[in-house]
Amino acid sequence: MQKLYLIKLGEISLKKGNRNAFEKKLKENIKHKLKPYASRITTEKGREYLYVDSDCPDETVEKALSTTFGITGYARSYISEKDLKRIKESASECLDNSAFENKGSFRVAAKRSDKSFPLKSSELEIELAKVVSKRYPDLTVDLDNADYTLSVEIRDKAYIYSNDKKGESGLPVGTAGSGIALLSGGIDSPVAAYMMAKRGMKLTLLHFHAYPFTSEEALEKTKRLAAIIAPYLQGAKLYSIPFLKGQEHIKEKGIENEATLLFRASMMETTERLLKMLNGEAIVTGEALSQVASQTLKSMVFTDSMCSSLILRPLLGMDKEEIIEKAKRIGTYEVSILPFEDCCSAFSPKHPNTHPDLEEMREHYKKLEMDKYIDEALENMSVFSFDDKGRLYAENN
Amino acid sequence: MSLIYLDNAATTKISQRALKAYVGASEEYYLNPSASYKAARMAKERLEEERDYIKRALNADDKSTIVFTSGATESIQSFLLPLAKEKPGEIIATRIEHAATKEMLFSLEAFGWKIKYLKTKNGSVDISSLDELIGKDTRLVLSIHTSNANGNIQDIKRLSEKVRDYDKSLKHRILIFSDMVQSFEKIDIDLKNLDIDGASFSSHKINGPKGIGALYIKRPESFIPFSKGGGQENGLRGGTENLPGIISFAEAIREHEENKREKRERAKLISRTLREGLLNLKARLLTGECSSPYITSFSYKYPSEVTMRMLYDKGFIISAGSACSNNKKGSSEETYRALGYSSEDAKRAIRLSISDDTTLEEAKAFLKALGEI
Repeated sequence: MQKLYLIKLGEISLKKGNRNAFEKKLKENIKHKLKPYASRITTEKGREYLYVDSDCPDETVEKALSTTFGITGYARSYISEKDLKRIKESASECLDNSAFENKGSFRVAAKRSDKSFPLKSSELEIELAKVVSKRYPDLTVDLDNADYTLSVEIRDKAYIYSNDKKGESGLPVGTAGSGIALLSGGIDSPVAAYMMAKRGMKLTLLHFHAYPFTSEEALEKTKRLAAIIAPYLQGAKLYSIPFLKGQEHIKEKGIENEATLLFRASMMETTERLLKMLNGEAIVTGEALSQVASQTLKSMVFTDSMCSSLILRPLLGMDKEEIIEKAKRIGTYEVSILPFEDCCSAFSPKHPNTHPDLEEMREHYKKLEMDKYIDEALENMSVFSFDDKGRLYAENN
Repeated sequence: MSLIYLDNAATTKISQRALKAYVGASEEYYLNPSASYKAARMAKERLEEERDYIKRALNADDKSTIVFTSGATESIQSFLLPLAKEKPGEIIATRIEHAATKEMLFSLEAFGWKIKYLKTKNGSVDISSLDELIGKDTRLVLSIHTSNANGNIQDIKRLSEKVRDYDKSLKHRILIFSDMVQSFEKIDIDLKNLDIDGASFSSHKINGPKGIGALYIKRPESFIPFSKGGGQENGLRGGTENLPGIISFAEAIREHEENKREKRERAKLISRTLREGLLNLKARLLTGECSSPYITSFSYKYPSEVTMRMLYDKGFIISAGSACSNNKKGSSEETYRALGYSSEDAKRAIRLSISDDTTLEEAKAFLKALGEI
């Protein structure tokens, strides 16, 4: 016996010529996330039908579907023969596992594509409403704004399901190229990675540290963040790059109030080098315009000028409050605010330059000759691999 | 890599003798000391022997008592909490207390008590500032004895003399309390001479087991305990007595008392070596002359936690004076500020705390490692 889930697609169903490619990727992503349980997905009349091994716990399916981009809604459904008695039994089973409670209002929505079924939709609705009322006598009927809906569709078989759960929408990961998302340990960067993955990008995560000026806990925290977003990213590798020597060099040889910008330029250069190694196409950062000194337009013009790759900043136009709200929903917020920030004030200037002169800065950066520090940092990076369930399955220090 | 432990003010490793005593007592004295049958009386007798022994070790008044608690935090709370039930008055305290005391003072403030703070000078409490604070509403004066932050010793004798002088002009006796956790078995304590009303002690800071401590009460007859229960500890603390813990705690004290002079001299030699070595390395000492030889604090070129990590990687466990995170203010950083040190020093503060097991070679190795970072 298999469990059945009905899956609704959003934007994918609007795609024309390449719809198949999107659907294929989505199916792959879902099936991979459900492993080791066997699953099968069929498409009929714009609906995806997911059949999962009955041993697979409901929570596993829930977790898989609620973290896979490309799904707008899903519902556990129960199949029965097209026979009223059987349909009623399945409706009962469906109610057992539904959110229905004996308080509020409900409706039954029947759809009959098989016109040979003896009852009309409205008659079937009344029959099933009786089932609901018997079990939940205090529920009232409300056809427009019901708290709960029991749906039945008569097609090749009868499909019964209660309220749809909302999916994350977006497009399947792996349909929009690949890139590197910087992950600092703060609130913004996991949200930025989530947002670009939502548009289908396949992401690798990259973290810079300055141990012992930053703590081991800061790296642990970044790993926890990576584990939380990994299911959305369909699994991800986290690269951790030691950059202390580079930072010390900048502090020693650079101009004090430019230190942060010079460091960012060197981070971008390092990221770009890794991006080329990984054949990726874009870099994702969690910058929001003018949130901090190094995120002014002029500062971004400078960092962009030091890097030829496309830099995506999905949070650019968002307020901190909006970002926090998203972080809370994704589940990264609580971890991001833990007090192990990439602290060290040791490297940040007291009065950073917020309006750098582009040409001057470029000159200053070139003079630093960061190449050897970048080479060394890349040689010494560690890799942590997270699967699409958020589990760390390999590390390579 | 074996690590050299220089954070003994946080906790110590239980000694073999104390551990043996604990195990032995767990087997031998498992009966409830407060039970009424004959066989339990042996346990009760042993408990009283240990209580008397600790009283003698502290040179406590005959009429005073030692109440066994779960540790110094409970001792502090037990002494301060009953004040919440009394008509509020004023408490004179220091800003360099252990968190357990600080938190209790905040609680008493909520009950209407007014807390006034003594000044600090050169890393210690300025006892002379008591004159400006003490008044007819003063009910309690408290000060930590040896600072857990920098090891400096507060002059409790002078504090007590001042308070007792003032007492004469009042109709009541002002209570004096001192947290002596970092002093116990590190420097000499003579409770009779100090003439204070309460003090807290802990077992795990002197190589005893965790989960046991003591509260000294000079006048048990006038002490109204907050903790009630089966009438144990002469009605001063409810709950079945932790006899194995008590016996093991007392054993740890006995061990410290043996060859006490030699041990203290050794500790002084190590602390002198550390302090001179630190000055040679251009560290700024945050510990003064009148201090416990077991604690040495200093500030160095990096933020505390960075120094701590660098030295951990070189094999040394030390304590950071502050946590370098923006979200949470490190409480020891606040203590260093309260001791009068600059914010720069407070952010870079490191505390070394040795035990009688620490060797001179280890101290020298530490200085060498510090010089390399």
